[in-house]
Amino acid sequence: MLAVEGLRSGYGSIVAVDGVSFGVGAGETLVLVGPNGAGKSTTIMTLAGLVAPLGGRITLDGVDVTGADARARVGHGIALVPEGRRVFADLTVSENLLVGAHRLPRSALASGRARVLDLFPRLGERSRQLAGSLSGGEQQMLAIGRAIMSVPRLLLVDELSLGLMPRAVDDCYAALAALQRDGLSIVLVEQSTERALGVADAVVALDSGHVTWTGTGLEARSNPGLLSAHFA
Amino acid sequence: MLALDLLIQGLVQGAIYALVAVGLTLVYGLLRILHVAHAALFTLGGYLGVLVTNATGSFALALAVAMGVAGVAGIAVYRLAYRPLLGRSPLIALIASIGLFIASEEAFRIIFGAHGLSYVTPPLQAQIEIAPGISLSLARIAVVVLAVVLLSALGWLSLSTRTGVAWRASVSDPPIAQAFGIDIERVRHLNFFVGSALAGAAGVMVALLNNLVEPTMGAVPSYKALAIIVLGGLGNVRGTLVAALALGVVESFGTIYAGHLLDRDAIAFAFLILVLMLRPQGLLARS
Repeated sequence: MLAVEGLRSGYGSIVAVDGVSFGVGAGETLVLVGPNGAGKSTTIMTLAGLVAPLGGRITLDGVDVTGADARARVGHGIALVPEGRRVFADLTVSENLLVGAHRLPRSALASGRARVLDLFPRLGERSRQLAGSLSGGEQQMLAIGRAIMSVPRLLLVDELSLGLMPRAVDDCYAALAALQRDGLSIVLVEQSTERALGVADAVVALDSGHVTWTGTGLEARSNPGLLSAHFA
Repeated sequence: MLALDLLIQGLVQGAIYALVAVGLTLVYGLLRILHVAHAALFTLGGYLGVLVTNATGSFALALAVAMGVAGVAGIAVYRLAYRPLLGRSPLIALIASIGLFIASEEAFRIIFGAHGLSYVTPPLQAQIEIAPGISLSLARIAVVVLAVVLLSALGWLSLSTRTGVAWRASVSDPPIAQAFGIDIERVRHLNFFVGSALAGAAGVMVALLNNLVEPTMGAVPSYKALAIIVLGGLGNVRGTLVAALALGVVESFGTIYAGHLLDRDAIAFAFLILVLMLRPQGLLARS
């Protein structure tokens, strides 16, 4: 459903991603791995529309979204769980979820909220609390919940487990598994590859802005030496 | 009784400061720009209040026109002066803002004359006894009522509507707000319209209290509002309201009890310096 062809992207004069191509099928989870500075985050921010591509093509179910800005991308069904969570700290949990559903009519709010609270019951208990007062794990739940509120077809997750307690990481991966069962397509960026490979249908390894290895999740899992070779 | 009287006078003055300063802190929160030219919209509101009242005899109409025109003029300031400078250092926008403010003072002088304008028949001058021995003009009561109504409406807008939530989300993290479909440009327009309309209303009320508008009437509110938003913790609306009322009351008491040492504006700035020495993060800022 997502096709990325020859993507070039970066900040200012720095090209962080150069000629990256991959595809994500409907209901598939693709994991982007690679060392620091490989271009994983730039790729995902470009998919979200927050970094403008310098070249290449991004299509979603055949529709070219390369030139669409972030605001338009969410209309195409792309939602972002950004690195560092970036919840709206001065807004309550409930208001953060409302922003997630900004494009949707009022009538769609109740079902969206029910879906999020089903995934993360703890957000229900915290609904009137300011997002800035939540723990890191709860903020990550809220960031995922906020993205789900937009009823996406493609979920972009940048560093799901970075800086979280092990318990919270478990909760977030459990939620991700539930979303996979719902048939959501996911692109996941992770520094800690072992955990991420466990949920991967496909794996793309990046280094210095280039694709260095592509394979299925099964191949990556059954061949631990394979990936570490690409991180040297 | 004198204390109560001074407290009331201080709150009236504080209400006016609040109307002016809220728009300034909203702009700072969203764009990180010190919008000095905000006070030009205060002056514009004052002139429109006098002109429309004198032409039509209706003060309510004058207030509505002043708020509407000041709001639209605020959007124009954003689009013409700030939007082209957004990617640059905030100092450049600050310089543009100061230039615009000076130019606006000269424009008022050229168009309406250096000596200012007054109401032909000043409205709301009746005195009402609100407590034994304390009477207040209807105009002063109107200032407080108007400030409470307008600021409550602003509170309702920002806390209880989807537009308001989107507005606050845009202040908190503009790119992420955009990634969820919020139109940042619309939020900025709304921000300038609302803030400028409030400043316009304050201008009308000051014109009413002094029965005078003049080209330089924005100068003192301009730097005092800057002091107030610093006191309130830049970008913090609640803090700004508290700081505005506190400054009004301090000035009111200070003029009587320390007036032989310092004048009204000097008292205000002595208060500012004192508070910032004790609480550099502002009155209500989270630690």
